[in-house]
Amino acid sequence: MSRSDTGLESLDPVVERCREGDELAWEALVRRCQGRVFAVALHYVRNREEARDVAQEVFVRVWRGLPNFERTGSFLPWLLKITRTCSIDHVRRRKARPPAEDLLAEEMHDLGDPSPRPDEIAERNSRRSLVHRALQQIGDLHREILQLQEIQELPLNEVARMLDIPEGTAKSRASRARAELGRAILRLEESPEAGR
Amino acid sequence: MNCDRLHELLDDWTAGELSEELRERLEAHAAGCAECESVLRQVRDRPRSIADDDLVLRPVLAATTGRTCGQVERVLAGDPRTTGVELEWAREHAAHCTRCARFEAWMAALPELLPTLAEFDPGPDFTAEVLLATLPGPSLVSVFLRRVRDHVERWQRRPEFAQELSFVLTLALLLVTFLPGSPLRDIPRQALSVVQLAGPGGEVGGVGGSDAEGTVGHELRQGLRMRGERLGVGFDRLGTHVLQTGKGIVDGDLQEVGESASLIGCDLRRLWKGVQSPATDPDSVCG
Repeated sequence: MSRSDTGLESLDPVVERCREGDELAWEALVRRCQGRVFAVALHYVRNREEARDVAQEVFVRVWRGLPNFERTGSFLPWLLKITRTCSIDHVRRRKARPPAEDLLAEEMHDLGDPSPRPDEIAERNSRRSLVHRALQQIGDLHREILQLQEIQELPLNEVARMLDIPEGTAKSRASRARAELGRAILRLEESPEAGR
Repeated sequence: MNCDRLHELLDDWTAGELSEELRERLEAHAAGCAECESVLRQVRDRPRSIADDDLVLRPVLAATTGRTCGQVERVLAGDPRTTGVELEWAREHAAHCTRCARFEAWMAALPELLPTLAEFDPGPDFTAEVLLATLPGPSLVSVFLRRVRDHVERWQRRPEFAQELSFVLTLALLLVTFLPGSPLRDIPRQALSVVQLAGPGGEVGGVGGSDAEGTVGHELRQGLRMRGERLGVGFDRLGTHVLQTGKGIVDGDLQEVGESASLIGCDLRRLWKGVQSPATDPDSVCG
């Protein structure tokens, strides 16, 4: 699913209308971005209910912060940066509590898949499920950079700025993350539960 | 790529004679299909021929550098330090190493698969909850008007409503006709005098009565007719303005409510004056 498929490339006029106080535009913006915000929050929080609360908090912050949003900047990186900050804050706050259960691959609900053929959908869902489970098995740093760069498809410079690391470091970290993910996938394939 | 096509290409895949693209598609399909993956595993695990170069290479690597799969993985994962020739060597290695071949197939598939994990549905009510938490709520006045409207509607729907309305109207009629200072206080007395003047079988101002009796009857009829006309017109106006006020409350239009309420006040003053002295021009009351 490319970014244009979700309408994210045409967010700028919607954001501009939101800045002018257009409530319908705000609803449209929430609808277009909620899946990504929830996915990123889920990546950090790893619990559906808590990720939902975090995603709601993100949109409240975005609504309050829209007047200060720089028009020259890109909206999606700004939104995902707020999501990351809120998620990390949430994880820090709950540190005293027992760890939440990891999200099962079977619980995934995507927001519409453009693949038309059922066999292709079934094959891709099976592979997606495997990749998703493999993502849960790699280190946090590697999972984070894959989430931002490969899954959310943010530009490398935005990812580096968000993580506060040089671009070269981000690039090599992403490559190591892909390698670790590949190894995790192969391990899962070889495990007796691969067909799950 | 589907299962049948994979079986057609199996021999070419075993002999390493597939194009790179076709091999990638075949292995990518097998990565997501348990049955085809099992077939490929069986073919891979068959005893190799004497001519297989691994028989020479493996012992050599084991005696010198060790396995190079880790380095191949780094290259295939897109290490930024990788040179073109390293990539070529890594692909050559993967062509002879089943595990690295699978790794390579997954690396080719990930750019397409990972973005499909970018969105998850937060649930059906999420948007509504966000809008509730962000957008400003209705004003206090409109909330008050809505509550009043709801209360009135509930009150009207009760079965006792007609009985209560009749009681209130009767009480109001008694108040305006019997209380000292009320505008219609003299109406019953005048009506009684008209009846007395007419007498049994007689007619006020008619053939059977005197001139004085006829004049009194005529003035009474005139006064009553004028009051009736004024009251009719006044109540029509009042009804129209009450309806406008109700509509304004329902629509939450405060300006219309204010204007209609002001007109209702005028209507009531006109009614009062009109009943007290029918000769007064009602439009002169409120301008």
